[in-house]
Amino acid sequence: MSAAATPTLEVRDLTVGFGGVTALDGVTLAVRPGARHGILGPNGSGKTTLFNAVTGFVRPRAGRIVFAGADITGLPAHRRARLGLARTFQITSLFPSLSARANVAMAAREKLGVSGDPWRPAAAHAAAEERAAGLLADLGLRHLAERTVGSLGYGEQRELEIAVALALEPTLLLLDEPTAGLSVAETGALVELVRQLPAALTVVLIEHDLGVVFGLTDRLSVLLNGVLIADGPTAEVREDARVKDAYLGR
Amino acid sequence: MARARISPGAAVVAIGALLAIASWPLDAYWTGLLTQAVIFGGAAVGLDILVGFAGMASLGHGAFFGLAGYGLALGTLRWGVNPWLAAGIGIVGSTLVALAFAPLAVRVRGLAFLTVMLAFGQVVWGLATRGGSATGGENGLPGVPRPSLGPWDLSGAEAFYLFTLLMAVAAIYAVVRFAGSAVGQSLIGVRDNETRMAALGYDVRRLRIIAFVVAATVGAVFGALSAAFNGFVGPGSLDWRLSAQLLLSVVVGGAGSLWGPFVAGAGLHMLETYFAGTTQRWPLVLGLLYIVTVVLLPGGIASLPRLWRQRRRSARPAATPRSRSASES
Repeated sequence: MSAAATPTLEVRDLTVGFGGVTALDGVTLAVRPGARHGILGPNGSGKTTLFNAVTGFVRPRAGRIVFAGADITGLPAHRRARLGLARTFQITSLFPSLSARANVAMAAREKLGVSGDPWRPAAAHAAAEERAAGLLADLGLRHLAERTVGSLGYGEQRELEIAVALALEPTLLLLDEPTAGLSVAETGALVELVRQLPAALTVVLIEHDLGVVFGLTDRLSVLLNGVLIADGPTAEVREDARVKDAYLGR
Repeated sequence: MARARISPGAAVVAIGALLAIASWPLDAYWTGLLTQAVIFGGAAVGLDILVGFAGMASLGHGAFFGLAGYGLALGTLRWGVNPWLAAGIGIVGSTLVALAFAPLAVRVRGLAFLTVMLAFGQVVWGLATRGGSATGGENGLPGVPRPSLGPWDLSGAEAFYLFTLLMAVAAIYAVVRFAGSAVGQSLIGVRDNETRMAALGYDVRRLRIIAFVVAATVGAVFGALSAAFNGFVGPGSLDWRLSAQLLLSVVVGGAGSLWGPFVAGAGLHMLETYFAGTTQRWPLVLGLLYIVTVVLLPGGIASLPRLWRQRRRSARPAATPRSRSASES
């Protein structure tokens, strides 16, 4: 990974406010291609707001968001997704009335450009169905394929949400607290799943579990009250005195 | 999964054929009643795309139904054009109104959408009632002619019933295909989780507009049929009571099932006709029916087969749980 390569994601002087509250205050950071980049910070420090601004669900007051060299600050969320920017949500975000397979196929049809077909049966789009089946098999979720998502367990839904995001064949995947609310065993399974993601895929991860963060990420950005207080290789940032004071509670 | 499934398209054609045969021994009164019932059933199926699939409950759908009827009436009575062309003008005109209004309407959701559509319906109703001699005002426009289809004279009750069935089968078949397509699935996605849809790259606003316009077009087709059948359009062809009855048809029938709203839309019209002879309190009956459905049968008529199967299953001896898959396959 050469240092000169265009960053997959660049955030420049990003400021986001809600009414009188400043959620993000002039945040600047870059995510290199293929990175495993962690975002750390206490509750309310602006981590999810950063994700929402990057994916187009929140409009920033100031600053730019650059994805693979292209300024996407003004693009709506769905246009950013089409460029290869996929995400999961802090609260699982799926289609509860559809099967697990149909959930992944929904993403695959959009990616394959057949989602606008108003006539042929949805399941007749063989390429999308195959991608869905393949992804579920890859992630060890094949046995859930025909289950209605609303009836799945929470841990299963967390894993399925990653399958859905991967069906977009993204270049950047944002995971918002993927292990929140999971049991120890489920957390282990999910960490393993993230570890096995393709090396070329850039992953940004919000996570509270420090073991998970230190184990998975090679770079770490730390937010506190909407301000970036540390940014660098995970091994360095975890020893940073300010981070220890602010977050790790030495 | 092993249970054999009938193709939805084949089911639509089969039901159409059955309804055609059913009219054989009937007199003109009953044939007429069935014609109007099929028309309301079909309009409810169209509305189900908006309510059941995209999750947008509307109290203004009658407007698109009635606008097409007014288009047909104005075309034939005022502008002297061929009834087929006039029906086309009505349906296309109604669709264009939907296309123009949709971008505004889909900005809001839930109760706000419901009331925006109610207001829209009232505006259209106001235009119809205050249109003076152009729209006939409160009296509407009588004397809308029925066309003939080549050598096939559609002026008789039996002939127009069969023609209505033919149109209904074609329109509902198209709706069923659309509902099962990739776009139909996308509408379910919008209903279930708009945020996830946007995060997958779907243009949610566009999908909501598509659902709105498709539902309106289907409503317009049946509205034109209704005007030709009755030989008349008036404010009652597009007022809020019609909109409410269509929405109730979807809810009572079971939103998202397509066949339930058809059964309920047709059935409610027959009930209304029956009660019209005995009481003036049809809205009361309709309201009670709605409350009973919501409280006792939230899935509507369409959930009855599933409840029936569950009952039979639980009534069976618990010692033979495996016999179920054998008997259902």
